[in-house]
Amino acid sequence: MSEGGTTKLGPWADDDFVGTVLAASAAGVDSDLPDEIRFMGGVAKLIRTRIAEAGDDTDPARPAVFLLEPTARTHRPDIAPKRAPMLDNALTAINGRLWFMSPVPVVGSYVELEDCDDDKLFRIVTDELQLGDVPAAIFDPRTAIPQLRLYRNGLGDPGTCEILRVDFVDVSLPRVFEIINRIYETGLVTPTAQEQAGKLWENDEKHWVAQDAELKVQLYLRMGLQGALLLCHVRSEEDIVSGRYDIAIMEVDPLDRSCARWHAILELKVLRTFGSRGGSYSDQDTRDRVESGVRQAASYRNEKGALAAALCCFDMRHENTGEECFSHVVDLADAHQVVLRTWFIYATCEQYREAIISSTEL
Amino acid sequence: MMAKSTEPASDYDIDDLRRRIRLILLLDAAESAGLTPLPILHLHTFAYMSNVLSPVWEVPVLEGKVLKRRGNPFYASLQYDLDRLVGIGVVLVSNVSHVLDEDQRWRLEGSYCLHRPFADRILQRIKAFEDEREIIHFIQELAYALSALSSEDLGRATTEDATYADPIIDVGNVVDFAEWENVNYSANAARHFERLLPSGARATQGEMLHLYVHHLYGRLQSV
Repeated sequence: MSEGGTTKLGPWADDDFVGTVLAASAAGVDSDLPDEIRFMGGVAKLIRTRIAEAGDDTDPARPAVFLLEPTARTHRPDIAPKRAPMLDNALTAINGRLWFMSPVPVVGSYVELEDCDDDKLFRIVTDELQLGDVPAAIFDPRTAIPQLRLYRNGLGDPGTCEILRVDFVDVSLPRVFEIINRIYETGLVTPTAQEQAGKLWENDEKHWVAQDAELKVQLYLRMGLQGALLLCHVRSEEDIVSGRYDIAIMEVDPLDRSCARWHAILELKVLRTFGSRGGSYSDQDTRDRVESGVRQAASYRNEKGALAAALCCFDMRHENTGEECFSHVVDLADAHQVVLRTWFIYATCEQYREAIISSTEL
Repeated sequence: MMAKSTEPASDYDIDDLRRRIRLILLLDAAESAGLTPLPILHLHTFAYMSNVLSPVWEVPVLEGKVLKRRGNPFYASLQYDLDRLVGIGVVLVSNVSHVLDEDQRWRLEGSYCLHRPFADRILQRIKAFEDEREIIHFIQELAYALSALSSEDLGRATTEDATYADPIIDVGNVVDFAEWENVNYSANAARHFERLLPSGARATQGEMLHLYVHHLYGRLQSV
C-alpha cells in the first residue's frame, strides 16, 4: 500500500476497531494448521466460551456432537439443519444438538438431538448419517467435570478417543516437554519418522542438515503443541521489539480478550555439524548459537511477560553429547531462569537402533 | 500464477483462464466453508472480497476495479465465464429463476456449486503451482471468515464494505482500488487490526480477514 497506509480507512475512519477486537474470537490465528487441529481447537474454545458466557446449567444437560462436515452432507434428505452464523460469540445454545462444522467454528448448522442413550447417539452419526469417518467431538455435560471427547478418526472408531477437560489446561514446562517428547518420538527422531515434506536432512548419510530445518522443526512443534493444548493459542514467528520469537503458548480469557496469559516462550535451535551444502560448523559456532538462544528466550519472555522460557535444542550433530552442549551456559540460563532441553535427531535408523540397544544394555 | 505455455498466449486468453480458475477456487472454498450452493450474487460478492482483500494476504489482485451498482457488485466477465463453466459441466447450477434486480432489469438467478468429478481434476492441477496454493489458502480463509455471516448479511455485505460503500463513489461509477488508484480502504482496515490485539500479539493474516468480516458484521447490524 502506498500513501497513507492503514490510516486511510475511508468510511470506516471513525469506527471502533478496538471494540471489534475485544468482541471477536481469535478465528484465523491458526490458518496455517491442518483442518482437524483447527476444528478440535475451535470446538474446545467454543465450549469453554459458552460455559463462561451462559453458565454451565443454562443449556440442556445433553451431549452436543460436532462433526467436521461443513456442508451437512447427509444420507437423510428429510433432515434440514438450521444455520447458526456468528457461532463463536457463544450466544447460541450448544448442548443437545448435532453440529455440522467447518474447520473454523465461526458458523455451524445443527439439528436437535432427541434425548437418547449413547449408543443411539453414535448410531445416528455412523448409521443414519453415514458420517462415521469424519473427525468428531462430543461435549458431555453430564459428568461431574464436563468433558470434551475427541474422535480424530470419527465416531466409527469409538476406541480412539481423547478426553479433554474444558475448564483447565496444564501448560507448565514439564507438560510442554512431555508433548515435545511425543512429537520427537513420532515425527522427528529418525529420517523415516519425518514426513516427506518435512525432512530435516539434506543428505542424511553425510549429516548435511536441510537449510530450513529450524522452520520445519518449528512447524512440527507448533502442530503438535496446538493439537495437544487445544484451549491455548500456539503462535509462532511474531516480530516483537526485541526480535522474533519462535513459539509462544498463550491463553486468552474466554470472556475478556484483554486478559491473556502468556504461558511460555520457546526458543528453538538446530545444532549442526554440517550445513546443507556440506560446509562445516565449528564447536564455537554451536556454543555461540546456544548462548544466543538463552539470551533470546529470556528477552522474549520478559517482553511478553510470559511465565516461563525454554531453549529447545534439536541436536543434529555427528555425535550425541547430551546436555554437554549447555555446559557453557548453565550459569547464564540459571541467572535468567531459562530452562534448557535437548533432543538428538539421528541421521540414520541404524544409528538410532544402536543407541536404543546400547541404552538398554546399560 | 499460471505456468507459461511454449506458445505465448494473448493477454486475453490468460486473463480469461485466470478468471475461470478463480471461479473454481471460489466455489471450492465456499463448499469447504459450508456456503454452497452459492447464490449468484453471493458468488459475485465473494469474488469482489477476494479482490479487495488480496493485499492482506499479499497475493495479486485479479480485478482491481468494479462498476458500482445499486445492490451487489456484479462482474459481467465473471458471469460469462461462470456460464461457460456450467456449459462444460465443471459447475452445476440449481434453483434457477429470474428476478428483477435493483436497476429494474431482469436477470437469471441461480445457485452454484462445483461438479466434483470434473472440477477435482482441475483443482489438482492448479494445486501443483506454489503461487496458486497461496491464493487457494487465502481464498479458503476468506470463505471461512465470510461463512460467519448469515445468508442475508452476506447478500448485503458490500453495502457496508469500506471500499464499495465509500459514499464518494456514486452508483454507476467505477470502484477502483488497484487499477489506476492505489487506495484500498478495505485492505487498510483489515491491516489496521494487526496491532490492536489486546493480548499484545500481532494479528496474523488469517486473523485480519476474520476481524474485518467481524467488523463488517457489526456495521451491518447497526444499519
